[in-house]
Amino acid sequence: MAKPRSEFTRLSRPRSGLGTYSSLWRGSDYLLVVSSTGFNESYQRFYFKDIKGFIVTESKRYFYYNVGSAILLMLFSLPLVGKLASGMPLGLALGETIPMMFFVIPAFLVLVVNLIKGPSCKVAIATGLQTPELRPVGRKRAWRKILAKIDGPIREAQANLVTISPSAPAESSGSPSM
Amino acid sequence: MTPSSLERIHCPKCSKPLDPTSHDGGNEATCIFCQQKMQLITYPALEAESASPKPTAAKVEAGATCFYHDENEAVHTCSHCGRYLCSVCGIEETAGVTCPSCISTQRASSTETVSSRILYDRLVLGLAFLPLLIWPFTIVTAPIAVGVGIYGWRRPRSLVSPGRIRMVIGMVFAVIQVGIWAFFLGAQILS
Repeated sequence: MAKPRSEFTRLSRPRSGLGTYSSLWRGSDYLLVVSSTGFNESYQRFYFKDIKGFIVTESKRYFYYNVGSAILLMLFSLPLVGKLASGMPLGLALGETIPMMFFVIPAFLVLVVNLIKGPSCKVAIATGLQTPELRPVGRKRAWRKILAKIDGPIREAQANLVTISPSAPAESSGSPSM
Repeated sequence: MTPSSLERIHCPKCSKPLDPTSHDGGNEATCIFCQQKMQLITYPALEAESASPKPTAAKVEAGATCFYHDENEAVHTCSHCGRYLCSVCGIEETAGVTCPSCISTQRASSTETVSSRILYDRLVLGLAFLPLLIWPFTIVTAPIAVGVGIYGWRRPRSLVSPGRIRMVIGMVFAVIQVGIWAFFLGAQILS
């Protein structure tokens, strides 16, 4: 049995929210935002020809995640540090604080993953009727990669609009910068 | 991007239109209402909005008229049902022009119009595996999983991950559970 091929190209990994997760895909001439609850998927389309722009704003999530996970890491590491400071051998101290490791390790992982993913941002997509947030995009680095993939197709889809509008300046067709 | 075109963009935080004075001349702006700083990446559609023609239809006394508006001149034919359509009713798609009725009919099956889908494959997988946490429930959930799998086998699948592997795994596992229960109950009855 041949594996059915999707017509869509993945642009972002699923990003979880409150009971849902959403991801961004590229269709033939549109962006597809897929929101899923696990057993149901809903789709939102943004056609390349309708996209007027993207609005990128700063997000404090990166900062809060770093501070929160660092505080938790320090709090749950305190018993281990206290035992080490009292002269207990490392192996013994680790053995006595194993229950704390169930909290230390996740906090450490959250901190490391957050640092690797880099600064966060919010991206909104401007169309003629609405300016919804692109929920699947939450990091500046990921957004730059996505933009590199969709910028060309969007400009290509709107190539005829440049000739319609005599007021369109040359700068609007240049490559984006962040 | 011209500063005047900024008015067509709404601040994502306060939803108010951006003021032309908020533009710094580059690709950054600050909303004058909520002071939200933002980076803008704009496309020709932003400038071309005023030049975009609104669909209008010519009124005619006789001749080919729109199926939905008997005063409007027909300029398109629906590529699915063949109805005559005016400029207002004709909906341009990749495959041609479609009428609102056909759009409505095809909505569930077309990848271009469907708005949501039930993921039967994940439902089967969930019904097959999640009840194992409280395993006696599998006597009920395993046959349901098999039934959902049979019902959903030919139903439209996810747009972005249309494979059947989850469905197959879930059904195989549910059938095994049904078999185990049948064996166990059969042995109980015979003894």
